[in-house]
Amino acid sequence: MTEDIINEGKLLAAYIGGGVMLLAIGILNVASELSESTGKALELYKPLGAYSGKITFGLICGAIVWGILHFVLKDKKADAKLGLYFFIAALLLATLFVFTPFIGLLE
Amino acid sequence: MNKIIKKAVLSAIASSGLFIGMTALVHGAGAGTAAPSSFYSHEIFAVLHGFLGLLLIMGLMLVLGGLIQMKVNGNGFQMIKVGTAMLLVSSVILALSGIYLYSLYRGGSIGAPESARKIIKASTRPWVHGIMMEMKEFIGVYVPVIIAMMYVVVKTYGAGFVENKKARMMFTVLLTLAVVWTVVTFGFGAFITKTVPL
Repeated sequence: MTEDIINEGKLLAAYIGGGVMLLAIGILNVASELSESTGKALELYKPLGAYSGKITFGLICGAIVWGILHFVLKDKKADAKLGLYFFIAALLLATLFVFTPFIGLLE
Repeated sequence: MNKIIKKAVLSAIASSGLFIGMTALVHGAGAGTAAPSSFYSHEIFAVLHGFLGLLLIMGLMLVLGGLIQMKVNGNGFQMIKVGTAMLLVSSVILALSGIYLYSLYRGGSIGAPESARKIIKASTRPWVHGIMMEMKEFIGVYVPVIIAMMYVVVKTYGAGFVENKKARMMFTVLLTLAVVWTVVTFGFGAFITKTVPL
């Protein structure tokens, strides 16, 4: 099996879906820290506070994107390397978005 | 090679079984919902959570070993495939148990006089909550997503993974990210527990 006969569409969909998952969690965290009403709206389960909504909606968001892209890209030829770059950038940004001193700069 | 995989699978099943079995000792989560005796179960649960975290780091190293072996004699693919699947399951269990423990950290339990979060915030080191816990609760959830990507790479390429340089490169990058994010989460967890146990 060589590189050119592997269909990387599914892998690209996974990278983008996973990246969106992480980014959505990070963005929801920033939004809830900056706006009290958003924080309250994200409170799905009281013992966990807004954290419950951030994780739930973040994961759902990414899963939807992953699912849609999976069906769109599954039979298409694609370069998964670009998806990996997107995933790494999303991971770094999502980590920055949960770093409290950074959120403090935005307030 | 098969013996190593068998041993790894058995240890993972045994530890996961032990961990899941212990959850029966824990009653309820959040303020006012836990029975007084469950305070000790929470401690045990937290210890097992940390233990599983350590196993995850060791599992990541095992997969790295498979990758190195594959480069040396082309034989480590089975270890990588089984190892990555096991890592995915363990990381999901670890994240779920971490979320449960976070509810206890925030709300406390009847056995504990005050929640760990309140104690840390009122202490001379409030940054342990403000920076470490705030980050840990999220980056701990990022780890299963990274490992899921590793699994998708192995599934996409199948046996072709051994010969495909691009696949191996992508897998190595993701493995490195998983190791770094897991070790940071583990380190933060250890430091928080050292500051105030649950």
